[in-house]
Amino acid sequence: MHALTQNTTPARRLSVLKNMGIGVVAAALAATALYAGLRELRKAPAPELPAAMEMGHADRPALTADQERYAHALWKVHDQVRTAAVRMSFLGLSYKMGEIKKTELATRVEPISREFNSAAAEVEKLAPPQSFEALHAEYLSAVRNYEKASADMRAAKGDSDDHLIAAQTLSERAATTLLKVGETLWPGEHKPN
Amino acid sequence: MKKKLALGLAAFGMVAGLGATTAQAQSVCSVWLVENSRFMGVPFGMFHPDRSFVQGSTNARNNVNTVDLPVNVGVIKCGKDVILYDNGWNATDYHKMTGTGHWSPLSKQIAQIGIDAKDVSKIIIGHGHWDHAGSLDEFPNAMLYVQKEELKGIEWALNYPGHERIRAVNTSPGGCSRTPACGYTPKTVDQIYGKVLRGMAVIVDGDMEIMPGVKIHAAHRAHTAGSQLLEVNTAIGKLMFGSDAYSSWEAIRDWEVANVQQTDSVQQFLAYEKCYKVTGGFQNCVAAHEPLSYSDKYPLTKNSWVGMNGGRLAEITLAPGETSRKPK
Repeated sequence: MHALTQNTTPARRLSVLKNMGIGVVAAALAATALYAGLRELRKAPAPELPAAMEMGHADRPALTADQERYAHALWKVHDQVRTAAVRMSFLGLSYKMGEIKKTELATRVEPISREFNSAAAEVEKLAPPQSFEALHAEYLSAVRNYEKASADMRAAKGDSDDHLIAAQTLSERAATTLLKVGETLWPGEHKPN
Repeated sequence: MKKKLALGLAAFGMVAGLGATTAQAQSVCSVWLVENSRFMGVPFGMFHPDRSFVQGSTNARNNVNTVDLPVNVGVIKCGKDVILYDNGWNATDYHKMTGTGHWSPLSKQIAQIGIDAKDVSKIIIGHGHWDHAGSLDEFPNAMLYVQKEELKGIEWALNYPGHERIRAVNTSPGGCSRTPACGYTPKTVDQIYGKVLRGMAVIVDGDMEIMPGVKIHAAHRAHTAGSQLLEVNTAIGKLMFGSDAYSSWEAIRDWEVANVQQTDSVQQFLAYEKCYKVTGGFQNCVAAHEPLSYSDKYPLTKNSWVGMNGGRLAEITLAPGETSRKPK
């Protein structure tokens, strides 16, 4: 800075100043470009995650086409089974809450029994891929347990709740199996509530 | 005039004395919070609509895309009575793969604070959804407290005679996210029924004091048909547990709805108001899924540590004579 002001001619001083000016402008342009670039980077949309990844399923292996077909077919039956199961529990609750008598309980469980019968027949018709044979057998055993549970509920008579307790034990076992199978075939079936 | 003033003071003294006597009669309870699991990467707006993510927003209220939601269970010890408020869920290991982290069986989690599952005497479920009422079989000696309205509400929806979507459950075509019968799995409903069947349940119709200082407040439709809150007397004042009626503590603080399922927003706000009235503000409202749980940002829960499988615990308050369960 001292050399520039003390030991140079006015023409050289002007040239040096001109070069400095160009340098300053260039630096300003570079800084602007850098700022704009960073700003754009910040604004860039976050990469869209597939829904499965957002919910933490990313590390699950995909189902094969055969497995997918089976899962889809069983889902239709599962809908029927699940709803019938919850209805059956509620009939038991209605009885325990004094809203219906045992005779009415038996009458109202009857159509639910038929639903389980038909669901079991539907499941038997399905041909699972070899990799899902054990799962298929488990699901069928769950539906069979529901069938037995509904029969036990219909058999409840008098003051004793023994039949109802036996039925509830079976249906809870079946419900546990439903969850287990569901987690393999239909991950994310239960959402945060 | 002096005589009137003296009488007034005496009357005030009597009322204050009466209050003190009532307070003495109430149990002073110890309270812990246990994170039964954590739902990972849930879109924030799905949980807290006023905090929906806006791409590029610099507003701290709207620039959070996803959140991890704890599933909090209250562990309340009043004398020898051990009460759970909600009980998380317990399925199979498969469940852990469906967007959930840090899950462990609740019975093992509470063992970390020296409580045996067999000693749990009461379970109050804030509502009957699978992630709040799903571990009943782990507590065979516990009496269940459930609102009658909750049971009636689910049954009503399942048997609704009109449009099929009203009675939809999650396996119905198109699934369900927030329709009235959503969130009640066969296993959860069956376990509630099992408790009722074995005489291990109290079906509550409205408010109920279950022991001195511990009171159920009905909060119907604040999240589900038969939601219920729990008031607990402690050394730091009253606490109010809200399950999913109080899903988000920030929402209670800011008067915003959260985790809308079968929720009437007016009833959710009235449930918030109940906490303000009973506890004197929002600090002592205990939320079920508050993302800030176990941190300084939710001060009630800041005295926390990490337990098995990364699940967190908090020691909220201790009754006189109770020793800390927090690891040194």
